[in-house]
Amino acid sequence: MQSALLLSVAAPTVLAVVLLALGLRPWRADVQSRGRWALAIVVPLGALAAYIAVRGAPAFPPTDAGVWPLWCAFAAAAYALAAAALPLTARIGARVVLAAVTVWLVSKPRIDHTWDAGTTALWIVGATVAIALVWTALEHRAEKLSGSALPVALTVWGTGAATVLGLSGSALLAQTAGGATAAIGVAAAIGVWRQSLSVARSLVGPAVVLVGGLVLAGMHYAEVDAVSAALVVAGALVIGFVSVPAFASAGLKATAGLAGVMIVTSGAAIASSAWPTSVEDTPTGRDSATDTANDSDDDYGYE
Amino acid sequence: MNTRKNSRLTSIAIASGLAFASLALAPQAANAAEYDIDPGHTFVVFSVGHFGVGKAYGMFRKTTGKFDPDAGTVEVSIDADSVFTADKKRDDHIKGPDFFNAKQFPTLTFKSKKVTKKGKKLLVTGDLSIKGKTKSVTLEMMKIGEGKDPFGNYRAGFEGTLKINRMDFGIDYMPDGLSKEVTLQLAVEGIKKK
Repeated sequence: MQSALLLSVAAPTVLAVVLLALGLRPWRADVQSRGRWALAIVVPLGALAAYIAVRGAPAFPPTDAGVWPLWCAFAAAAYALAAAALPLTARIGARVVLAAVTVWLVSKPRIDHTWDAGTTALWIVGATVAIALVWTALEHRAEKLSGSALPVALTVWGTGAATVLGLSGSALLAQTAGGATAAIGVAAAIGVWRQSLSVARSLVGPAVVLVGGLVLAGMHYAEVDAVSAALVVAGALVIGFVSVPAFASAGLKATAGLAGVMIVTSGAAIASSAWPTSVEDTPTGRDSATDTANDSDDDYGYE
Repeated sequence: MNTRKNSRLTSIAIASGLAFASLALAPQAANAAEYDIDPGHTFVVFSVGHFGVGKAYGMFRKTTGKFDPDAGTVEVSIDADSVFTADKKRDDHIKGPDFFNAKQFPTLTFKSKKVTKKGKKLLVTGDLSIKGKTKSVTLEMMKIGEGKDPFGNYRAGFEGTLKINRMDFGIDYMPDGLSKEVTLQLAVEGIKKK
């Protein structure tokens, strides 16, 4: 099990190092003029590498709706490559469409089998608005901030989301988010090294679609609670929209500021996920049929 | 003339033969009896190897369906959310996306296509659907017995086993920690429809 966890981080890390070294060539003086493609695809490829390392090649179209964010992140990577040439309205429109498609694909089994029209509308509109808003907020910040600040914050954000997903009872979703986060972490390290490099702009779209879609899948098919999901969204909105002078300039000060906000919100999301929400979740609160079973609340042997 | 007479006789013989055949088949059709699976007395137990050193057992608490021993048909629906392994944390995990993904795939189903006799055993071949993937499998079933219960219901019971490869059904979590082969043991009891 440990080897699977290690692989799900090691494989995307190695891939990201190779890909970003080839694309960005960060040791060269003209580093800014090249490599956007590598930053755009490193997130979905990192997640894909983690998935393949642990579970083998994913099917397309996927059987599990929770795998759709992985494929949608590739569409977001295509957006990231084209975004620079698009006017603002087209970019906003593309974000909303991609967010809505991701939400619809992730939610489709619930729409088909569980929800009425009202519930469907609430979920589709609510989740689309949340993902599109987070995307817009982070892209807004990325346009103004070069270097390590936003990539480091995204690394903390992804780590928090992966932990929330893991605590919600899905290693599949957690490992996919973890793979993407490992790739973002490599980009963040390059950002620390080259503070003038605009690292985050191309990372944001794929990262938001992937992490947002996975958290939504965690709410639908695992046990991600609404408070944890809201805190994951809130962290991204705060660093995207709230104007604090320390956040506005490149460098380690901004890096520490944004990472600090993310550590607080992600930590709260993790705490909310880990907190027992019902009597059954407490060690003494099992239902009567399990009373005679072997006690193994901390580790039942599969993890 | 003789040829005509022979032809008429042949027609009468064939018609009579068909009439007798249909009479002979009629009681069998009338006997064909459908049973509703009794969820309270039906058990679907599974076991899977754990790290190559042990076995983990679990069961499904809710199974519905029907069978007809004469017609050779079986339809079973198992509620994925009813999985029980005597540990709530593990149950929640097994219901989630890593295993059955019960919210997306709420039922496991089996529908028979063919039943053949092999000695005392019944080989029930049909489609098993788990997590949206369908595979043809053959269950080895044995009749335990049949008869009236104290409440006037006519019951029949069968038991059997089935081995499947969980990877065939997209349950690929922990490929090294959990065995690919999963053994299903079934004890099915049905109440004859009145």
